[in-house]
Amino acid sequence: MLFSSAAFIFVFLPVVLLGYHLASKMGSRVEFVWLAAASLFFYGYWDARYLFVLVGSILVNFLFAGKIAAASGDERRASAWLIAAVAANILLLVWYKYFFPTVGFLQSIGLQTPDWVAVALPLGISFFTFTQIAYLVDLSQGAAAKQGIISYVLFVTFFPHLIAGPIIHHSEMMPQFDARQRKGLQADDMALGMTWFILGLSKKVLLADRLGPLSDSLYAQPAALDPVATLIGVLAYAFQLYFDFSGYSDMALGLARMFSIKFPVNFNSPYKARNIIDFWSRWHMTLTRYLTAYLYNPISLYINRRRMALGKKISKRATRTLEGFAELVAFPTLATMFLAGIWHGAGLQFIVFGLLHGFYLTLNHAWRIFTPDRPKLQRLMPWPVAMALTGVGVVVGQVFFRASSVGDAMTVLGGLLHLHGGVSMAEGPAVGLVPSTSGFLMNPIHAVAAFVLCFVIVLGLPNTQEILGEAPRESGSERTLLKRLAWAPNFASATIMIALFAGCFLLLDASTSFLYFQF
Amino acid sequence: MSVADNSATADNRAACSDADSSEAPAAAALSQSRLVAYCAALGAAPFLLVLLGFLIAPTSWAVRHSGNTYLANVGYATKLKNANCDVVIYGDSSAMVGLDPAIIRQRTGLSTCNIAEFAGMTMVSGLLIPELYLRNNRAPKIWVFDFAPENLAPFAKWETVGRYEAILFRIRDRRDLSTALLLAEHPAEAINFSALALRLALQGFLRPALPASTFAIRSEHDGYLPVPGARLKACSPERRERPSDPDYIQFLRSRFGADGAQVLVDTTPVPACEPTFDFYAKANPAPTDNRIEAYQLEDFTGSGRLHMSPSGVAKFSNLVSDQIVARLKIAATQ
Repeated sequence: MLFSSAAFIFVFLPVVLLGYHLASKMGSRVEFVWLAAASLFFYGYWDARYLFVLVGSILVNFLFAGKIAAASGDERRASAWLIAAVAANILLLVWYKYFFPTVGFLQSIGLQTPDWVAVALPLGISFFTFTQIAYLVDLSQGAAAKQGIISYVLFVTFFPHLIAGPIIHHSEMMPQFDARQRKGLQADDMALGMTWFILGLSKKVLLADRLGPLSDSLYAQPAALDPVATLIGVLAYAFQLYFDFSGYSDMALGLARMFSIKFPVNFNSPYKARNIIDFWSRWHMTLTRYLTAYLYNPISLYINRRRMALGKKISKRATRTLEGFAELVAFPTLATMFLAGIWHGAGLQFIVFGLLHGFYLTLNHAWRIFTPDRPKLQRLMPWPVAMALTGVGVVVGQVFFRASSVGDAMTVLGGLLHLHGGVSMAEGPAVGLVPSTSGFLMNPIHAVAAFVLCFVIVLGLPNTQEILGEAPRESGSERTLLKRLAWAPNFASATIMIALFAGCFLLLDASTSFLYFQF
Repeated sequence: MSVADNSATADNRAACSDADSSEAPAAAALSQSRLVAYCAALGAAPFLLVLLGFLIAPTSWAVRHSGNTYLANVGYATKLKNANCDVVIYGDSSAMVGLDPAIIRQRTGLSTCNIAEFAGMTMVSGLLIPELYLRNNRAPKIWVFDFAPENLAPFAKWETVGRYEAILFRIRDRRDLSTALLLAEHPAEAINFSALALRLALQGFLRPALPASTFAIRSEHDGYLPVPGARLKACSPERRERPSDPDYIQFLRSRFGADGAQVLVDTTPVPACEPTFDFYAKANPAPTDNRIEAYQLEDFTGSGRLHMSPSGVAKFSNLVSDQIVARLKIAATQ
């Protein structure tokens, strides 16, 4: 069930909260069991068959964790178990996520393959697989402790993050699952959590779901629309993706907070980024953290060790040579983003998306390293221009991310450059895809007004965690309108939250699934 | 400083700290109660909204401002008391807008009523409508059950097919325990109904009221609902393939034939371009009293699934009239 569905909001969540409150009277262990059971039910509600995949993954990884922990004194044995565990997890992912699309691709280019029946992708498989891999890696390095079965199950399955993140780290979760920390429902956490949830729900239902049909219209028939309609579709997706995913993350953080569990923030106003490095420190932050820790750093470490063995330098000065930059910066960056692209999906367009961002990041690093008077040069480029340039790069990447193929993506980009003609969105062949709740956006003037509102929200206003006073200290302060917009649990906030919820409620039956669901 | 002064100062300090320590729990209690009140408000609001939707939906204002002709005429069968029609038609919307009692009456000489409702009514309430008809009227000489080919089987779960009107009928006209239990068994659909009701009510402020004549359309046509609309230009690529359930069809025959009535079970003709035609046509023998037929595109409108234009209505009504004549072994009057 979606977080934005009636079944979740009116039935599942109240029952789980009530059950949790009652369970807290019986002790922490009962609390954990209740939450784990509720989370498994939540997952099984989608499709009970895939509960076996999730439970199987958890049990197998728990057994591997036991083997790795038992081999803690013997590095070779621990590494062997770790390799086996990672291989098993990757195989599971390859089977469900990449095997059948690859077979389909081979068939499309005329190669004969057996006639396998494709299996559907278990929801959230990437998320729960990578969460467990990270835990096993840290366990083997002594950076994590072996957990009991109940806290491990809860760590993997806790329903707010199970389907689409944020990608949580055991080091930030396990202490919170410590029995001594549990106190049942707390009023301050409930108030904050409910508010966070409603803000996320509003982003999803009031903004993302209303804009979505515009991008669907474009990508259903990319060659059919004129440049204006193409631009509308492209911008609609940029905002839809952000509000949908960050809205989901806000809901997840809010839900966790209702149970006094703190999740890491996942978005920090990414469209305010002034360069692509900054963008990735603000967009899907937990994925960036994961990629850095478990892909980029190990690749860099391997390269450094190889260079050292060959007598080459690995210092910062070494990166200022072309050879050093290529090995120490460009290669790890491109390799990491290539894998990040593959993580997102089994399609060439995702690989292009990953490599494009790898190229952007490499270029950004090169700019920082090779331009001698960078601060002076940066002053020549006003920050709105830097923000716009970053935005253009990001949006181009999103075209590949959203399109069903590289060809379609190129058609969309060609449409933006007026390389083919077309009709307006209201005359487009896919106009039937637009439901009545988004029909008003078919009028270009209304669409522009909607985009202006979106720009004001993403560029001008404080983000959710800033409003709630939950922004990490290191995020700093930025130029925003309504700088003093700060939440407090008072009558005014309650009225605003109820009004926002009412708006969402009116559109609840028209809500769509989250974009990151099939990952 | 003297000891007295120190004592006074000490007393003052003690008095201040006493005041501080008594204020701190009070402030904390106020803060806690504020938090609880805040949570209670946010927690209660969703359920109050649902209740509001259920309160607003059945009001005559909401129906008058719904802009929905079918909604204004839902549950026509409950208006028939001692109508005692010789021919009673029940089915889904393809029957409601596709079978004209006036044509059947002219062809057969038999009084005819069309009590069909959107498929959502059968989905939500089963065969409640024909059962309600029988409570206030004598059994007809012949029942005509007509459904789109995909609706000749019970619904395994609620789908989005005219569900709003069906639920409204229950909460407005059948306000009893069975309705409460029904909604409790489908909480998500019940809540979505409330959300849609509120949305329609908000839109209703901008919409003129339906004229009184709209509410009498079905009464004036013996239950037939003429639906204007442009002719169908192309078939939808959507494939609705649900095999007919012979047990369900047999149940219709046995239940409604128990009073000595004849029972015809038909499937609505489809446009020639219908993608599922072969799927349904391959059933042999056909589960219904007619074989599925393909009509011209111009015999349909684009107003809904298998909704017929006047030419289609005439064709289909005449077909059913011929079936009635043959089944009852009476002479056709025309």
